Amino acid sequence: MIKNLGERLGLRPEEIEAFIARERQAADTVVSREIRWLTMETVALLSDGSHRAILEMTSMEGFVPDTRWVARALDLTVDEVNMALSRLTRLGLLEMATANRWVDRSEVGHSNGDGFAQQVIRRLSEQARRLSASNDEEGPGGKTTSAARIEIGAAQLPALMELIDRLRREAEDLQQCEREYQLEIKIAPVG
Amino acid sequence: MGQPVLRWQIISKNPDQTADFYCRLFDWTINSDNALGYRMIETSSGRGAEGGVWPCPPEGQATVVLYVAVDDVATYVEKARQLGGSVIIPPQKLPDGDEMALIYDPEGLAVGLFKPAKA
Repeated sequence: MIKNLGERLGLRPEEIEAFIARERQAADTVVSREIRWLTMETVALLSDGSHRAILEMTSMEGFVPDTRWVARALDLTVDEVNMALSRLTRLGLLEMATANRWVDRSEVGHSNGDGFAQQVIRRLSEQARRLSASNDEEGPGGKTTSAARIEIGAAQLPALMELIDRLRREAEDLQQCEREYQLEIKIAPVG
Repeated sequence: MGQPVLRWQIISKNPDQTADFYCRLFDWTINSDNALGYRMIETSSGRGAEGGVWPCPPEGQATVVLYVAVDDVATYVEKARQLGGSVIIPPQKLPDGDEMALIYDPEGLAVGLFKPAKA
């Protein structure tokens, strides 16, 4: 599903692989389940135009932040609107900022369909990253530890090496006298 | 004093059937006359927490969520994060003035945070 969606959205193969790898990496964990759910919600959100329609409505004059009003305006059921609201708020595309103001947080013009899709994928990616980070653990002595395993193809190795080199250079700038944490990166064949 | 459980919510793939089932079983009534069209359950017992039924999207799973009353939703979301939870829905101000957020506890159970408009 991720591959098909990624291809349709014109993502590069390595970006699609990264999504798939992240999905596999956290298999059978809470994080994995949540990422799977978010991915399915993203698919639903992109395949059903009512989500974009709701976002567009929020900036229209005379908009009423009332599910029943939105349902009437879009010829949907109240439940359909509420499910759409759940997806939109969950992905951070809509904010119910006050009791009478809903704000479109998609940060994209509505005439730009591709831009909307990319923005939705970007939000999914951000949330997946945040969820993976929240999987960090507290180790001995109350110190934070974090570990991740990412499987890649041989063709992506040069790009990964470049990324590691950049990370190493930036991390060196952070070096301080107190040595409390260490970052270790290892590349090895899968198996 | 700790924070009380104020509400519970059944998230159902068939909200009408679910509401009908519980109304017949427990003599509850449903009131959807609110800005979200939310099926508020009225037990008319004068005891216990109030509840409601919310539609579950096809990609989700039917479940029950407890909503704990807090005086500041954003503060408790942050506190939950620090304790190992994660955010499902960040703080939202609902059309009727209530404020809510949804979090996962470290086990992956969804828990609601709720600040009623008439606190």
